[in-house]
Amino acid sequence: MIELRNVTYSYPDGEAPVLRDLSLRVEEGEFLLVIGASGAGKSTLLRCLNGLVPHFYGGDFRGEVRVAGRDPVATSPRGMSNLVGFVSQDPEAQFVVDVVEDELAFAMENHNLPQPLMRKRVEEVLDQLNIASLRSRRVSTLSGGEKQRVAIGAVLTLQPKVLVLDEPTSQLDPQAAEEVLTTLRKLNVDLGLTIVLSEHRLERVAQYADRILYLPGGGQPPLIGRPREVLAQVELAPPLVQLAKARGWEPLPLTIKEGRRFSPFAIRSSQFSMSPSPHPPVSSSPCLLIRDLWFSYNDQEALRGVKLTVRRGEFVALMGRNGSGKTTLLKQIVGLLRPQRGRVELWGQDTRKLGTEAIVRRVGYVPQNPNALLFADTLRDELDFTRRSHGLPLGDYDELLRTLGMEHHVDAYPRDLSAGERQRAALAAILVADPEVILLDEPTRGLDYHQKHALADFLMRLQDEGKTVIIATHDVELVARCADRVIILGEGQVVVDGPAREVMTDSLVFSSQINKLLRDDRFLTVEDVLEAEEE
Amino acid sequence: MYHTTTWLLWLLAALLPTMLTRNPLYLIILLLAVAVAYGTIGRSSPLATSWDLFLRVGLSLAAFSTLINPLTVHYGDTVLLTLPHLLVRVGGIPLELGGRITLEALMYGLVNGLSLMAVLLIFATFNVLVDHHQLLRSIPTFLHQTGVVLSISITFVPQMMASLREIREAQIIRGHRFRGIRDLPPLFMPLLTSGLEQAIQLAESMEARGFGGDISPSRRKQGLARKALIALSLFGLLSGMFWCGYLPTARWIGIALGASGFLLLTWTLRSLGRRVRRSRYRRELWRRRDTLVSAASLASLALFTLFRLLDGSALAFSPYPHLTPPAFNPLIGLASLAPVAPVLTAPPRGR
Repeated sequence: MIELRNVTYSYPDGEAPVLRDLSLRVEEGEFLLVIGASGAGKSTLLRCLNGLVPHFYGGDFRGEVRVAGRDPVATSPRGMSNLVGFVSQDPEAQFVVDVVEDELAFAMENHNLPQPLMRKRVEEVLDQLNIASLRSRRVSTLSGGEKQRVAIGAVLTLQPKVLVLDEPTSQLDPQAAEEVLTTLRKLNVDLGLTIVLSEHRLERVAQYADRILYLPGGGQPPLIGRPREVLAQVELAPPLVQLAKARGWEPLPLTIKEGRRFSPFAIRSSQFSMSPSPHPPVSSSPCLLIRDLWFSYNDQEALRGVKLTVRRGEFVALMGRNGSGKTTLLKQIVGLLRPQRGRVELWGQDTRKLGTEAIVRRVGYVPQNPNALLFADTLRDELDFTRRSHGLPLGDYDELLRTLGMEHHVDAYPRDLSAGERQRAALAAILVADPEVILLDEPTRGLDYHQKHALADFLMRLQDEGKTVIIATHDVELVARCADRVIILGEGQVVVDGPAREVMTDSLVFSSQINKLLRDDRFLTVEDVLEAEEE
Repeated sequence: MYHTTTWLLWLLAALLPTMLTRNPLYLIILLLAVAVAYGTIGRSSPLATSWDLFLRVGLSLAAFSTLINPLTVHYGDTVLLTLPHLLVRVGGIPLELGGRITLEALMYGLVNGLSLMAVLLIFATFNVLVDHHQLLRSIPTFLHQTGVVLSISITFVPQMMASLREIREAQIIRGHRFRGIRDLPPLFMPLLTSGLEQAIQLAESMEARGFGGDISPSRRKQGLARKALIALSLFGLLSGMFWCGYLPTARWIGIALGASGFLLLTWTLRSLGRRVRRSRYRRELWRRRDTLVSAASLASLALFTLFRLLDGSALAFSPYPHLTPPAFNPLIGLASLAPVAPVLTAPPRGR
């Protein structure tokens, strides 16, 4: 179905080629997962398949590509559009018209299909993707998962032979990601559609993939093979696979179900007693006190009587479905929103009396989208800007940037950085003001395992320095690594509030992979298990 | 609720009287008809707030026109009062303010204000009632790319407002305060760059779904020929009009030139439209009520045109030199009522 022969490509202004002498064969009906660190060329490879590379981007392209017998380089993306369906990561940015049904028809209109045929195919796609109920909705009113399924539908109406998806779930919460991935799985199994997908959440897709292509980047040769073979050799691996590798489990389990076969061996470790993870000394004075907080946007109730106390030096994770009020709560704490009923107190003072300026001097908030923050020509300018805005003297940022692993980028244009680096640049731009309380909203979007680990380590170091950290996240593995306390919000109310280990062991959804496997509150992460073994 | 064509006819039928008549009675009837159309079927639209804005602008324009005309024009028999003279120069042009304030000049200003307000409210109501995306889809095929671009921009604006709010919040948290032009980049740069990034993604997604014309080299030559044809036909059309306007002798030459230019233009554009091979998914339904409303609009258009051609004085009204009550022809009054037709045939509420 797909064949690449000795493909080498570099972007117009790039010095080193992104893809070097890449050869690849994908059979019809195959589900190929493309993994690799950010910047390793995953997106570039996917764009070769429908000719966006080199047609849309220019640059130097060598080698040969064949998709279903056609050459995308000669045919152009437009000519490939009825063979290759292409879906990108941001569901917002792919819509042309505002109603779902029209969006599904857009590609067919471009191909001049007769109207009765269009009607038939729209109906089919609505049913296949289970989105018939959305047909006359405006795309702006859809949730992330629904949007991404509509985007998939919009390319399926042309009945392509190959579906290419560039990190389709990186902007979605776990439930929405699950929706999209099961949809893809169904298309692959039921229709025999060839799927090429790049993805960071290996724990969710590795089980569906027939083969994995690993792009290491930096000019090293790629690795391709069965999921087990590839995951055994690469460092980027979900926690279950990491544990399995450390323990030498064969064959490598990809799902919890497969892992259960080995868990008797794991449980053996329960004979070792383990001291509870060292909680840092938490001072008794509350730095944040929320009393019966209510807030609604127009008619939509976002927070309904939230009560909460956070002490200095705590590491709190706010979890819960999309729309459960996590972001609203963070904005309330930092004073961007004002309580309609109840009160928010910081260090014993009402935020309504403090005023935003006084709050932001001591509370740092990193919003979901780092792009909303970055504007200057260099990272140094960004940091200078924050210092100056807070009326602080300019300084030397080496130490902060070194702990974030960003010291080489101090003179880089922030927008040119990769997703993970931008996230850290935004973090640096907030932390440079040395806030006492740090709030982060979805900090792991678009980060790979390494970057997540680095972020978790960094946040824990902040906590050791006595800072209070509150993160709103869907990322259970991040929470498992670093939070002491988990608060689950539902419909604007605090549903669960307790120590991370207890809450996660009790929960089916908000639980880490290792914990799901072992169901033991001493083990949330691979490190927990391995440390217990050593003792 | 109604077909786009119905709304376009409605717009024409409502606009034509504002151009043809200065009779305040007809203008008032027209204004009321339009306001009723908005009030009964337009208020539930999500764009309804824009109508109030138009109304406010219209009212202030009308008030301005009513007041400024008697201050600057002192013609007319009925003097209401006399103000002290004041001579001001606006860009070198002497302007006499004050002096005799006449009832006629006041009336003239009022009529002008009414007509301005009518035009504004007609567009405001049309804007609220018509489905924009449907409207863009009825753009002729040779312009369809323009139509798609417009359609995207309509969807883009609310997105842009949302991201501006997000950016503003993000910068406030960094201690940014807006004091002057120098504080603009932190707000503007992220908006610009993320807008551009989104635009690139959208372009990619459209390209990957087969959007865009055929640009193979053989076609390019044809395209050049078509451009030349369009230029030629426009030249014919314009020179024909010029001939008719300025050279009263041998008018037929002008008419022939203009007509051939027009025909050539239609043919070229049609063949251009045929080159874009594109089908339409949506077919709007033409219901019985569309026929009724369109008939009313067409009848009103025909009546006004007929009166204008046959009996110009029936539509004319001038308060100068001495104010007389405006004439009223029931037929024209009825024709001015045409914009209310969509209300009469609309399906009962709650459907």
